[in-house]
Formats: sequence, C-alpha cells, structure tokens
Amino acid sequence: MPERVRNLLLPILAFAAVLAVWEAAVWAFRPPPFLVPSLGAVLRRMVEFGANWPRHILATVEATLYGFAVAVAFGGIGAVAVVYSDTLRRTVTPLLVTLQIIPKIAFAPLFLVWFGLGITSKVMVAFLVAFFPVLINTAVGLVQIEPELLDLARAMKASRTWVFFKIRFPNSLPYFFAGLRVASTLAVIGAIIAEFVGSDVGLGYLIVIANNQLDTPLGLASIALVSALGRALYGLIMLVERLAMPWHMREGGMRTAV
Amino acid sequence: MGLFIEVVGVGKVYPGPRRPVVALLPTSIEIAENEFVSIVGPSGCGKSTLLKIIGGLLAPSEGEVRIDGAPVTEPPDGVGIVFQAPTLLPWRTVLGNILLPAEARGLPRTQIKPVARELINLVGLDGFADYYPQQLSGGMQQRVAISRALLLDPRLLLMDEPFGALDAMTREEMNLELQRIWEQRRKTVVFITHSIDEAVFLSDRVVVMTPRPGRVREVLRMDLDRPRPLHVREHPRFVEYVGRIRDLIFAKG
Repeated sequence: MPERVRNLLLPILAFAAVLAVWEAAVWAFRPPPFLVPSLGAVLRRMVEFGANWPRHILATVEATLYGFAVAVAFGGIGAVAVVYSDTLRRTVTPLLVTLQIIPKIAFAPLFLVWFGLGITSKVMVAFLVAFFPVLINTAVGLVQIEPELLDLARAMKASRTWVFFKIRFPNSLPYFFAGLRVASTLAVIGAIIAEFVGSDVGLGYLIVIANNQLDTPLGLASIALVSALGRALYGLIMLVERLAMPWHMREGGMRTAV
Repeated sequence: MGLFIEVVGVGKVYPGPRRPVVALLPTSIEIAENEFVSIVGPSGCGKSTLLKIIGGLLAPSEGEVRIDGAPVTEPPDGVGIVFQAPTLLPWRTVLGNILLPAEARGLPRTQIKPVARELINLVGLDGFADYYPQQLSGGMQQRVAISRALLLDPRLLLMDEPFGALDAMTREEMNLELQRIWEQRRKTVVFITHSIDEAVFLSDRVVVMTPRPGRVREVLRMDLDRPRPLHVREHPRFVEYVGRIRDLIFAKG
C-alpha cells in the first residue's frame, strides 16, 4: 500500500472502529438514551437542531478567534520586549511565573462579574489561557541561537535591527508556530469554559443546557462540533506554518545531495 | 612578507564560581601577511579563546592584539571566520547564506552576486546555489561556510576547527580543498585544530600549545614544498614534524 493512502486510511479506520464499538455497545446493552444515546440518535438530533446551530457555533468561533488573536499579538510582542529588555525581563518574569501557576480558568467567574455575559468575558478567558504558550515559545525561539552565529554577526558588523529581522525572527518562527498550535487548542477550551460559567449563547452554553435537560444527544453533538472547531483551527495553523516556513517542512522527508 | 598580526602577551582569565579560571596564560605570536599558521593543542588549552581575541570577539584580560600595528578592540574589517559548526541559516539557500556578510553591511546584492557565484564554483559546489543547507552533507555545508567567509575578500581568515565535525575521509578531502583555495586566494590564515596531521599538512608554521592553562610551548616551521599532495604524509620530514609536535604536546612541564 502506498504510504500516502496508508496515512489517510489508517486514521479513518481508527475513527470508524471507535464509532463501531460505541454503536455495538449501545445495541448490545441498550442503555437509556439520556445516559448513552446511539450514534444515530446523536446524528438525528444534530440535524434536527438545524438552523439553531449557526449562532451558537459562530459565538464560540468568535470568542475563540478573538481570544487567540489577542494572545498571539500580546504573546509575540511581549516575547520581543522581554528578550530585548533586561530590566523588563527581571521585572515581569516573577509576575508572569506566578500568573502562569494559577489555573487561568479560575478567573472565568471573576471575568463574568467584571465584563458581563457578553463576548468580552469569553475573549478574556480564551486570551488568558492561550497567551503564555505563545509568549514563552516565541521568547525561547528568539534566544535559542547558536552563539557562533551571533559572533559571526558581530564580525560582519551587523546592526541589532538586522540581527533581529534576519536571524532572531526567522529563527523563532518554528517555536512561535509550536506555541500557536498549543494556544489554538487552549483558546477553544477557554471559550468553552467561559460559556459554561455564564453565557446565553455558544457551544459551551449548549453543552450545559443539554446536560440540564438530559438531552445527551444534543450535548454530544455540541462536543463533536467543539472538537471540529479545534481541529479546523489547528489545521489552519499548520497550513500557515507550512507556507511561512517552506524550509522547515523540507527537513522531514528531505533528500540529501551526494 | 610583512608583519601582519602581533599577539603581545595576550592572556584570558574567566571569573569562576569559586576562583578565577585561567583559560590562556600570556601568549605572544607574530604572524606574517599571507602566512598559514595553525594552533594545535589539547582540548581546553585556550586555542579558541585566542582565536576569538584575535578576531576582536573577546577582550583579553591582559596584553593586546595588533593588526597592522593597530590594537584590536572590536572585530576588525577584512576578517572571515569559519567555525566547527557550519552555522548556516536553514531558511536561506546556499547562495543566500554566502551573501550574508554583504547584506549585513548593506552592500548591493547585484554587485556581489557574481562574486558569490564564483566562490560557489571555487569551493566545488557548482549547481547547488539554490539548495538549502539541510539538503547538503556536512562537508558541503562547511564549503558553504568557507565561501561565506571569503565573500568580502578578507585579508585574514580565522578558522576554528573547521573540519573537526567531519569524518576522516571528508576531512582529508577538505584539507586538500582548503590548500587549493588558499593557493588561489592568498590570505593570512589562523587555523585552530587538534589534529596534528592536519596542522602539519596545511601550515607554514605550527604553534604548539600546552594543556590547560594554555601557553605557547613552541612554534615550528613546516619546511615542505607546496602544493602538498595527500601522500606528503609519507614524507620523512612530515613524519618527523608530526612526531615532534606530539612529543611537545604530551611532554610534562
């Protein structure tokens, strides 16, 4: 079997196997639908919910993307600032570490009080959980440079600006994107948690409502969509990563000359 | 051949956690223009420290380095450096990497590009200009690093164990190549190595250093005709030089 086909086929088979086991278990043990509904029941509920989906999906997507975008902006800029200013680094590092230790989602109820039921509190939670991986990864990428390369730059009389744009920045990209990947999944989690805590729209809100009404098929359908949303964002980042760093991907299956 | 580089009583002491660490005892060497000088010694004898001080990348704790009589306080103009690792930028092609020194100084690309292409041919990388470093073998990557160091036609080439990471056969090949390049582009070369064989093969003079803390034990002139073929290694004088240097390195005191 060609490798490409195999790489595509095997994961699909794995998914199919999990769903088949689920379906078989429901058929064999016949649990009440509010405990474990069948796959068919979930799909039927998903279709039935129909036109109600878009506004909930959109609300979660919006909160996730805004939170993610703010996290990327602040994380990226913060990393540059922290790397370039010794004073700033010494000043804020203890603060950042302390903040990092707190489970950020603990702020969700507080943000609800501060920013209300609207999108702001959701964006804030998504931002807060996604911010640190971007900041820390990018900072590491800006600093992790062969010392000889910096010696070389000095010998070439390169300016600090030049070293930043031509060496540090491209060097940080693989780390930055690794941070984005982690941040993207965290941003989804942040938005969902915020919707659990207090919201009147969104997939997280639906999950809570479905639970309260013992509408388990709707809850599972919402979870499936959350997962799809996370996957889509992750895939998008991988795509941008590949476009931004063609050399990086080349390292994988590259051919060696001579 | 005029006097080019004077290393005058240069020593280096690093502050250590308990007491200062002496990396290099006061050392003096004189190097003439277009001379190929190797510095050999065991690991930790301060060879690389000395090279960095000559290149203005590290300030000595005492003494000074003079190039053309002027004290070195920062990296001087007209110096090319090659390290043990090729230190190429993975996001740039071979050509892009070689052009780096020109870009760093803001020189126009169009003017320097033909020079870079010529260098690619000189080091035997014809046809690889658009390859990325990851697509090249270790020896080829080091050829790129050498081209990059030669781009702005430096008077002085500082090489810090440039072939130390290569396998033995590639290393011999690169020694031959470096000699050929040096014959074509006469430069002053200061070459750090811990291979005695390599030092004798390449150099006009070999500076032998003692183990840590390093100081110069002796400077020997390699009286062998150039260009030297690979089998010069069987020449009685070659064998004698290698033996002398080995004795000097392992001698006590």
